[in-house]
Amino acid sequence: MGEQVNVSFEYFEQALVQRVIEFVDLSAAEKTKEKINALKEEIKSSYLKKDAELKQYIKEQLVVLKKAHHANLAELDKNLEHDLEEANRKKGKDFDSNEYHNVKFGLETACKRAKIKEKNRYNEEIRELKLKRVFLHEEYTKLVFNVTGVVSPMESVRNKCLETKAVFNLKATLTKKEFYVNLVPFCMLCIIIAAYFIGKSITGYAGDLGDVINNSIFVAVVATGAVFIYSQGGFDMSLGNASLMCATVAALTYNSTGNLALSLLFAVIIGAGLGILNAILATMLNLPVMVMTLTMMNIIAAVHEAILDEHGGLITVSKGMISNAWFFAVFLVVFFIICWFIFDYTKVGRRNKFIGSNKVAAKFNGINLMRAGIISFAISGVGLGICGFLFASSMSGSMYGASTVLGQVGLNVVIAIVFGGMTTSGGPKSKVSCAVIGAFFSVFLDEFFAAISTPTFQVGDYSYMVKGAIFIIISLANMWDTRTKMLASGGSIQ
Amino acid sequence: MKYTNPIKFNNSILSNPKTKRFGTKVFWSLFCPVLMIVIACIMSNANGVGLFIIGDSFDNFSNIMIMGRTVLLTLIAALALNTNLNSGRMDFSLGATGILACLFASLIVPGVDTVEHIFYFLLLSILFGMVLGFIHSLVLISTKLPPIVISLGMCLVYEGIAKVVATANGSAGTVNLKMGPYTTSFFQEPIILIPLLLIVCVVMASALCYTRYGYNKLALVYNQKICVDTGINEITHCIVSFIIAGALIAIYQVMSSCGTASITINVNLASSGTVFKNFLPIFIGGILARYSNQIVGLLLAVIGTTLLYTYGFDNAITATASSLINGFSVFAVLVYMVDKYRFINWVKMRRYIWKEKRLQLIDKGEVQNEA
Repeated sequence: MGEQVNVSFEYFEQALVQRVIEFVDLSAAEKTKEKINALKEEIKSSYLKKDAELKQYIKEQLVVLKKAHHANLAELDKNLEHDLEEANRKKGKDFDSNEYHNVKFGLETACKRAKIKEKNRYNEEIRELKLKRVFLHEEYTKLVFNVTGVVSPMESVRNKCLETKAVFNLKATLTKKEFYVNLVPFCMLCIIIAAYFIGKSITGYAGDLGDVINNSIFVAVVATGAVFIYSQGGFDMSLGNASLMCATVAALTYNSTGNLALSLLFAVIIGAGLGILNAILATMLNLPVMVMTLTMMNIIAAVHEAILDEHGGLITVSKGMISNAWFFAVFLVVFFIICWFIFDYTKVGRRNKFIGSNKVAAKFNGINLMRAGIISFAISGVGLGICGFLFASSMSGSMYGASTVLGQVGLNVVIAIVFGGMTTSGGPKSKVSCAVIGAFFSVFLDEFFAAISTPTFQVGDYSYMVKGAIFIIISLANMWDTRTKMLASGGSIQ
Repeated sequence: MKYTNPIKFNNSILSNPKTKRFGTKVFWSLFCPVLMIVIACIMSNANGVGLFIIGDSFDNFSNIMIMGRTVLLTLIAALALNTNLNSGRMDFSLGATGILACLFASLIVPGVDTVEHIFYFLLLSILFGMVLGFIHSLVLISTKLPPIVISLGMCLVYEGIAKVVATANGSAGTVNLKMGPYTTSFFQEPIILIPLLLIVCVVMASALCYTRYGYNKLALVYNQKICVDTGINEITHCIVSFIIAGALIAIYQVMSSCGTASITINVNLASSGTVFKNFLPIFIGGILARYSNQIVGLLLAVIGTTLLYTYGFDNAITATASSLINGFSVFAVLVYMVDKYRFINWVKMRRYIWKEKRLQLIDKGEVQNEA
């Protein structure tokens, strides 16, 4: 057993590894906190020392590799020059001018290919060299895990950062078409924001930017959570009504307790509960998601109406809740970072993308569809709760009824996700950033049309039409590769 | 072997297998709607109101005609939704198609003040509905995107066009139609209501039960790929389905608009809500269709649900409670449809395991064999 472990640890000293192995074999009573901390500290100090050495070594090696690479390239150029001279000398004797032209072209092509090969070899060597730090860190986390039994999330992030740094190649990235395709939604967002401000300055539109940002944040928060559902190829039509229900719960809790934290907690619990209920109906009972969520939307609307009726048709939110756009932005950023981390760096996101690509293959690969569905709907529910809380905060000191901006959030989320560059059928292209970019784009598009309207010509009336057309065009661009020859079908519900 | 007992021929009609089968079908077809009507009657009477009494009016004939109109409206909406839903094409744009078709027709016909104008309005709306449905199907076919994505996009586009047309017409939210003395009650008149019901039922029953379209539709419901491989043209079917749905939803919208003498414009996908209320009759109709045919099943389901929800629950309980019951009923019917065989298999498996365990215990002598 000891030998096997020694083989897998390349960077740490055998003595330290052996001590860890001995520590693992100790009984639970012998593993005192002091021993654990001492060993952990020793591993950490050893790791830091080795990491610093490795960093220096990589730095030196990179210089050596660069020199060797340039020398190789120069050698190739020299060889080409020599061969061309040789061919030129033979031009009058062995070759005619046409043959010489072909030989020259062949030599240049061979040299070009050799240079590409050399560049690829050089990049690969750099990558392998830089990955040494990643492997060292992996060994470190393995040792720490054996000692403490846990790996802190910060270590996972560091590992991912080191890996990204090792693999990242700016020049290669900039020459990739995919890079520019992924940038399109962001560029579109920048253009629409710029167009909004230009239009506003020309027509003198009186719309409040704070309201636009608030509305964007509401849609963005719900859409960020909903990415987990959409990445699986799922659908949820009840998001708007569910977020309104969460808002009402948050408002009523705050009215009765005056406690912001409690208000947020209750809203999140209700949101997550509604999400889990949807997941159970969709995964355990196999109900068609579209019909199920539409029905759920009607049920939630009916319950919300009953609550409103008890309060005379309008909910008054007590003063004191923070209704600052920066406060909302902080919530969005925190929620976005958490979702981004879960989606990109944990099994949850990878499983969701796999299910979205091929549900049957995912199932036969051992992925528990029910568990994945429940987790996704629950995360989406947390987003609903936060959105509800933020909406209630924005209404602090005023009243709201059944028809609010949240009512349309459910469908705006679909539009936002598509505008952000994701497909509604999910899969590997799914990204959390799509939700935020799409949400801001969708809301700013509406505002742009309102901003360029004049009393004689209301361009805002055309916004829905244009939005629909853009929706179809972007969907087509997003799904261009995944389309089949046969007409797409959502599958029968009977 | 000697033949001793002569065969007894039972000539009774009731013991005839064909009659028995027919009786069983009739019983199960009528069981659910009759049960719903009985519940509606009980709830209405418990609340001190007769089933067909609406408001202060005691004119039973008029009320029955209003009920007939409601049934026809629900039937047409359910048929329009069912045309594409069954084949896996969820259509969000159905409501917007109807509204836009009526709006275009209203630009040509000066109003719905005379019988002649109402007929023109109806025919033009149907025509525009078919054209809009055709355009939708063309977009779906040319892009080959999932139907849900296209229907969302088309819903936004149609709603946007409706808003522009309505604004040009003078009002952004509601377009008022020029009304006459018969406008609001036009589709409640027996001379209009009954033929229209018959035409819709006969045309749709012929299309669904006695034509290649209906055969293809049933085939495509189960597996599109196999159907396409065996030679069914799913593209033609899709175009025909959208045209039929467009025509039906136009009739629905004309009836609805004449009832209020106005066309209400919705934006931000709100128009889809009007049609999606009809899931329950579609699902119940799908179950009842096993004992008769698709149209009869749907008609019976529509009659039952309309009476129960519009006249039974609305007389006895609040609208919120009625919506909740409707929602939970949809879930119950869906669970029955989706999980029926899973549940039966689970019960069979449990029973089998129980029997096996009991046999093991008998073998061990811990339990006595009662047999």
